[in-house]
Amino acid sequence: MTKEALFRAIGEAAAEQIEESRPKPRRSRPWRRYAAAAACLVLILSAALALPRLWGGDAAVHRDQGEDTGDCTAENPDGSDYSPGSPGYSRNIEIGEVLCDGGGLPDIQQFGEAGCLAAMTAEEFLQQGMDIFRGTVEDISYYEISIDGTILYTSVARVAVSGWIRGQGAASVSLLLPGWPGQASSTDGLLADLTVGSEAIFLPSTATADTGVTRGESYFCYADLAGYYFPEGIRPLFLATDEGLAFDPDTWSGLSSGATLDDAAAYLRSMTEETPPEGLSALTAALEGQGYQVEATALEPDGFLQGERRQLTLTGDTEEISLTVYCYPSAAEAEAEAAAVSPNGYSTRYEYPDGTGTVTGAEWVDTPHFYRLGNLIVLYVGREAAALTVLEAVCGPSFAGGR
Amino acid sequence: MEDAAIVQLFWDRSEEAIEETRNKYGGICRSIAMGVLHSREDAEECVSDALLALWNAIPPQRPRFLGAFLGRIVRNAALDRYDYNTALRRDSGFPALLDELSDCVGGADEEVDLHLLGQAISAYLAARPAIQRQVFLQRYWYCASIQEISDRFHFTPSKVKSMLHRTRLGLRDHLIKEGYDL
Repeated sequence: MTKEALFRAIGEAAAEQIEESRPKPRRSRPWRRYAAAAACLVLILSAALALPRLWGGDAAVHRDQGEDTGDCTAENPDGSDYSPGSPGYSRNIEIGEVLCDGGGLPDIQQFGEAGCLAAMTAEEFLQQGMDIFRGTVEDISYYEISIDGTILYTSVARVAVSGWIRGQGAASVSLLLPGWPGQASSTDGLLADLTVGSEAIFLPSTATADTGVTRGESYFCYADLAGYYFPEGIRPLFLATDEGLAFDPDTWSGLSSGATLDDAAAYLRSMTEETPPEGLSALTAALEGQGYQVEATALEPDGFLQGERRQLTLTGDTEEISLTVYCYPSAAEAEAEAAAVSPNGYSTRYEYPDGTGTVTGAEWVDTPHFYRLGNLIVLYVGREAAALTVLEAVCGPSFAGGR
Repeated sequence: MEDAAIVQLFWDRSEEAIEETRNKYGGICRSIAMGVLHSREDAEECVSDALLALWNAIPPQRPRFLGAFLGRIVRNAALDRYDYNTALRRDSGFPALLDELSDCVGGADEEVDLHLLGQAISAYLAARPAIQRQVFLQRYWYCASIQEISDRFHFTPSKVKSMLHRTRLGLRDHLIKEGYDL
């Protein structure tokens, strides 16, 4: 075997492994250069009130990078220079990183938009599907975002991940924090206590092109600074402190007050262990109760419906019956998906929040029949009376197809 | 945009499909091609050719992981271009990466089923810790440099090199057990 053959064969590695290993895009940091100023006046606006603030020029220095050209010095993955006009998803903003020359960070006052947290059980909170990982804060960077005439303060913690409880598996992640940790009134809950060296379990939300702050025509996208962010700081953190483990006992009522970080990790693992699709066992049992032997195999997605696909093969006294079952996390999601299927069962129509949509057509080899049972959508393509009878007995009448 | 939505654009024969793919995966594809060819011009040509091949492949295909699907096309195109350039004696830094794989093979030029061999490699990698697997694939699938991997994982370059070396030796043992004549 030659080296070239082995290199080509590595190219045939499993797609899941390749996707897992994909290098995450490096974030560019456009800079605005500041001249050291004796003082400048900055207006900070919040949802509630506006306060003037004086910025001490000795306490904060905005860092230049590289050449005195004002050009961004971020790089493309291939090493070529890259000078973006603006951050990736954000619009009409400027982002500057703040370093301190000697002393501590300057005092800021930022009033977050206070909101009432909806009460949630631990199960409901976890159903949001966020990644969960344990790690240690390696460093924290501080930023000010100029957006629509106001300044927002934010920070990014780089965390070395020591273990994943749910999610991607990277060795290091970046977390966007509201305000600057340690500053008065700047952050919610336990996030304010994060420092370099803090060890915690994090349950952040994933930053995407659609997560950010909009002010007028300007948009600051969290994903331009970090891979994750925190919509609030009370529930999504278990923080190891000198006084023991700090967490929200109202949400995480299943965890005792004297628990350790290891206990919290075990607790969260037990809450998030994957189980087989909920209704599939019930459907299988019901079909077996009708006298069939049922064999299930996993299928690749077909793009017609979004649920996790299984093929059920029924054998019994009649001809073999083949069913396609689409499995969803909840009955509500299955119901929403069923609404997208056209009455004749030959197309699905989805509409997205931005007003676009897709229509997917299917060419069935015979008459399609769609049934819904809890969190499942069951598809039978054919006209065998025995199949239609058993499906109506188990699932009720079909909601689409049959023509 | 999610991969499934981009794939649907291909199925709908919408030209937006190419633009969305280039926006999402153009950078990593250029990176893979540059890792093999070390020529920006050649890398750009490979990426353009790969996007055309993708347009012709979907439909009928409906890949679940578009990045891996496209990356594989780019990777093979870059290797074909490398072979062509080597015949023309145009140099690149790619031989250093290939030479590392000498730990795993004997060099005999014999036919081998690449798909089956790829499956055997995946089976070996699946049993490795995630970080070891990711470092290996970033080096030999994504053609990242040792320094790039070192920066991403916050390892020293020597740690990356020794991790890769251990993985290559383990892969060699695994392939021998699987019956491959190395």
